[in-house]
Amino acid sequence: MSTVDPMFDPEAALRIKDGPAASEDVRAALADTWRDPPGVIGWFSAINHKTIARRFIVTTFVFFLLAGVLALVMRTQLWRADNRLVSPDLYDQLFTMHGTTMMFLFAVPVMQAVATWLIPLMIGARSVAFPRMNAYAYWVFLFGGATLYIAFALGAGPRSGWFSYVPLSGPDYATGKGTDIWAQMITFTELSALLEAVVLITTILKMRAPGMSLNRMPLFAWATLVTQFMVLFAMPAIMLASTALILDRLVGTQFYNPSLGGDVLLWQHLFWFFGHPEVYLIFIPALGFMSSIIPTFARRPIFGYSAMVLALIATAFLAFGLWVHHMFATAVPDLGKSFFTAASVMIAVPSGIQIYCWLATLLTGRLNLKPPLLFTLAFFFILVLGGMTGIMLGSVSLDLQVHDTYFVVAHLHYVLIGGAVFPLFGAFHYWFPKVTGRMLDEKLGHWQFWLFFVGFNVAFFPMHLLGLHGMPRRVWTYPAGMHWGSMNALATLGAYMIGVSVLLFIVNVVKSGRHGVLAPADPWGAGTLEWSVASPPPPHNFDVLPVVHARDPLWQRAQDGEPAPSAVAGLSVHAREVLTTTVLDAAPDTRPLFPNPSVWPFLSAVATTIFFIGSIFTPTAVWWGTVPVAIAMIAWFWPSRRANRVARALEKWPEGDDVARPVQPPPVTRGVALDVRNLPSFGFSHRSPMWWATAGLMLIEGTVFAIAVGMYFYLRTVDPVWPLNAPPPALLWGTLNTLVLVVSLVPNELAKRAAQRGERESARLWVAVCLAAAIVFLVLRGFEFSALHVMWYANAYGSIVWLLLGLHTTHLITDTVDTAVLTWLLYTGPFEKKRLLDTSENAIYWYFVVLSWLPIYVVLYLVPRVHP
Amino acid sequence: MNNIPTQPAFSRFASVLRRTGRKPFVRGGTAAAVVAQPPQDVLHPAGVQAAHILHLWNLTLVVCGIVFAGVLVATLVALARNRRGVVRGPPDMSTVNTPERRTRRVVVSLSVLSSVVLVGLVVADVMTDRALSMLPVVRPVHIKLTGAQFWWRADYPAEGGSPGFTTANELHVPVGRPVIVSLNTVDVIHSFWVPNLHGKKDMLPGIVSTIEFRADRAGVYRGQCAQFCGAEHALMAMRVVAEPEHAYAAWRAQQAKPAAAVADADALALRGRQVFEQASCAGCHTVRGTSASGTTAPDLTHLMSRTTLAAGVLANTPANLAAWIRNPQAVKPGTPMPAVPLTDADRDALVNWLATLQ
Repeated sequence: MSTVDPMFDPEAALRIKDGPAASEDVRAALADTWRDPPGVIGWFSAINHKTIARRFIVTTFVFFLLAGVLALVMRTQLWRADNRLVSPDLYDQLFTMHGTTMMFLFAVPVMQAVATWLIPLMIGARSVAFPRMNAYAYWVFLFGGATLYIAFALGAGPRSGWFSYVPLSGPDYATGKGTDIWAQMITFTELSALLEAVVLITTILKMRAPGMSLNRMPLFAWATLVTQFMVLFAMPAIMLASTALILDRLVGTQFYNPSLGGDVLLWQHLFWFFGHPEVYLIFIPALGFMSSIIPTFARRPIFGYSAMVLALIATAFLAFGLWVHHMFATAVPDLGKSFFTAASVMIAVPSGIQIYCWLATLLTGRLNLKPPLLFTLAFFFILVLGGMTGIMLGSVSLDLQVHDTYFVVAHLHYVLIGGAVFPLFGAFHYWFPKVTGRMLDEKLGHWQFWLFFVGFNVAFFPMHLLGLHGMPRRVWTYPAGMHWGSMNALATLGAYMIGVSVLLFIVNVVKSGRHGVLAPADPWGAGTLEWSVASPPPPHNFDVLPVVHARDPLWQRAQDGEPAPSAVAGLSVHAREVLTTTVLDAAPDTRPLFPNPSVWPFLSAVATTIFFIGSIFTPTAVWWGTVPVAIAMIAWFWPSRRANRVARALEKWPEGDDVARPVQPPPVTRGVALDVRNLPSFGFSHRSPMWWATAGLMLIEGTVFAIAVGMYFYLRTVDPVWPLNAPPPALLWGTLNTLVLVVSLVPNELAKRAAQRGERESARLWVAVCLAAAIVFLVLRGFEFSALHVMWYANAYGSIVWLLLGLHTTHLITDTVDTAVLTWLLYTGPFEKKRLLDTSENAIYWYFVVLSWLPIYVVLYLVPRVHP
Repeated sequence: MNNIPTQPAFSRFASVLRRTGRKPFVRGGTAAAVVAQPPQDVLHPAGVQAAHILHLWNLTLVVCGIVFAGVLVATLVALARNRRGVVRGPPDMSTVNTPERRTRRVVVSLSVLSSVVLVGLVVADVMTDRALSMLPVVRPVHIKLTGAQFWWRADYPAEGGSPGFTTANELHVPVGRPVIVSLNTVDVIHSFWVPNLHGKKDMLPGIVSTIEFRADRAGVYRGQCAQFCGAEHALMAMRVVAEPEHAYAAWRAQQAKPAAAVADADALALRGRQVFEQASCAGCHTVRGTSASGTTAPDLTHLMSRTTLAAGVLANTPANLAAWIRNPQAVKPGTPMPAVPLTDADRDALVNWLATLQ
């Protein structure tokens, strides 16, 4: 019986708690509470993180196969000179779709998908932090990828390359809807990735098992954490770039039009500011796979844990400082280029440290050459070779020769396949028994590995030579007499070998999924928490949440015995209660109630899809498209009476002295338990997952605004006359609005304080005042737009000014709708004390909306006057 | 004087295999011979800039090769020394509380050594960048090169006593004198790249950039557009002919002249010129000395002085010229050149006249 069951009686059932002393029925009840609902509607309502992750992984793998087939067609076209298998237009679509699929629809999402399956199990949690948002992110991703492929199948696909340089992808040269669909697919996948990043960051920081302090966290969790922070800062750049491209193409803005103040290099800067970190979004999680697999198969803990963590963080930071190395052949100043040479070469240092630490682990361990280890070992050959060519490409002079040739194609595949895909296959072989409960066939695994390893080198090594012998990239054919034919033929052969190896993998998965040897909980004798539960894990992951006392807890437990306390007790069995812990030391903190399965994430994704796709066919969809999205999302968050009853039965206001006390259970059970039933059910500020979501959103939006302001100053720098003979906007409405916004911070702060003191009446009054203020400045904002004196299509100045004002206005509108819904909920029922937490979070976001306006106000209104 | 590079060994082996196989593919269904391609190769510099880059390449290759070999050896040693682990045998937890001093020293030393080597490479990189920017420019040749979909327009300004002129797809430069090429584009981004002479430089709309190089060895070198620019990016090639000073001067003098006049007695050629001026050809092409002054397509005044047609795609023979005019899309699908509807007789006359444009 679970909380969705209409016969559910909260008072009695909720007194039953889990723990090492609990009875056998408890396990069945927990499974019942956490499992996905049955039936067709149930399939669309599923929010269990393992279910969503499985679907996500399968979907990304399908995209991988599709992109692989496209590559085989390309290689077949190129296997000999002057081939006419495909036309140039089709070939251009093929390489555009191959790159786009691999980068946006496979490589980044699969890492997030694997993490959403694995992280809760690895850190001792029953769920990810925002299970419904996790589901929504998957559906949005699926619909975005499907949109792209449907367009491609209909002949309306993009054909300007995955990097989509302007002006080739602009309104003058890329006619038709292909590029618009490409750009909107970016919006889908970037939304999905950003939401997953918020989910994973909050999960890792707030839901670790008690005792798993940050320095005891598995390296895969560190890699995921670091990567997700990078996602927050990298995605906004491509979001703005693709938005500006769509605006140029559909409504006539001039961001990239040099004859009206725009700049073609603006696209390249924005794209590569995202694009370079993106390859690290792919690479760093794979480093996490390496750090999980190598210790297990070397039978010793990793060497140099602290150095590994610092290397991950250093790599993430440095990755943001390299992007101009993609632009060495452009007119960027030479001195600036040298800086990026230094940065590009420098990033090899932390990667090198990681490699030395792994080699030290391997050299001092006892190796067990199972398929997971084989795939990991391939990294040391393939990725390192790719890293060497990367260092070559980091030099401006060398890059000027081999940029945009097959040398780069070779390099990128060596680092991406060697650095990410091989470890990913290792991860599949390693965790397949845990996910499915069956072992993969080892012999097939060896065959797959060797075919892949040899085939990969046969396919891609000759491409280094092709580049050095003058063959450029993105060419649908090449003339005879260039001496390129034999190396191309070899590359094609290798590509087919890779294809066969992937087929073997699929055969292995299908065969072993049905008839494989049944897997025990811990087939490899590994040390991390996911190996302590059954294979496959029950819906609730852990019958009893563990308490952690060391890195590699299972190994430490095997050596030292059961330390005290060893388990958590006191979470409800008939409700989805989870434990949150503190960020640094993972001390038990609160026990929030998580939501039940819901079909609204799916429906919201459908509404979002209609909104995004409608927007590229008609500009009015930007307005009416938001209505179904708003309705779906309000329905999503609207509390039901039943859920509210459960929440009120379990709720406890945060007080200063609530701690989890160790409890000695009756002697028949194992271990001392840490009883958490007296913890508060939520906490304010950083104690609540909601705060982390808000903080994540502020980081994302802050980056968006910062980059948009950066675009303003970039355009100003490249245009000799600024603001392009257009008058700056009149001061009146903008200044008036600024004053009203700043003043509104007062009722906002009062609402926040009232909420944190538990005063519902006071809080809702001040929120209503804020809502009134919000409506006032939306009206004033309308006047601001009319006072801009320049249209968005007039020149690049008009375009950026409308963009800045428009970006902030969307935030204003969204926050007004939020505040309106919140006010309504505070005045009407059903009410639970946690609603005041939402009020407090809303207030924090309101601060952000107001404070982020101030730099935009300065840029729009003051800068053109002070320093024209 | 064609500069044929020594083929890498593997290619020699492979071309033996190929010679036992099929005939070379024939383009466009005509009996046109496959164009013998001049070198387009990073590893055989014919000019000082490419030579600087090759030196850096050799140094970097050696250094990176050593590092790669080191990592490979370490991995193989780890495998070779392997004392087989039992799958579920107890892990070695001895390192949890005792620091591994010796291993740590090795890892730290390697990390420091790597950083030093990398800094050395950066220094070599920057020195090479500097060398490239310090090409002595005494008596330079100026060329204004404009990229278009899918051809190259070259404007040579007046120099000394020699007047300026416009040509397309084939550049001539004197051996031993620096060449300063200003790069622009009329449509999308292209990239100028002649690997035997120098690295590449992008041609960006709205931005004028320059590239400086010097050919130190006479020969014909092939270049190719190196930034994806649309459907026929693959077939946007060029020739750079490096020749002695006197040959270069002679070429300039010839290029600067208007088209050779047609003798009144040559009715076929006269008819050909008439077709050119009255059909859509003149709307896009220029032939100085006639009324044709279109600017959106290559200048054809001295078409026959070039070794290729359609930006390096076809050998410049009358048969190929006729095939190109009859059906450009079959030769270069996606080219902006339209298939102008002409009768066979008109086309013959046209080709006949074009053949006089030496």
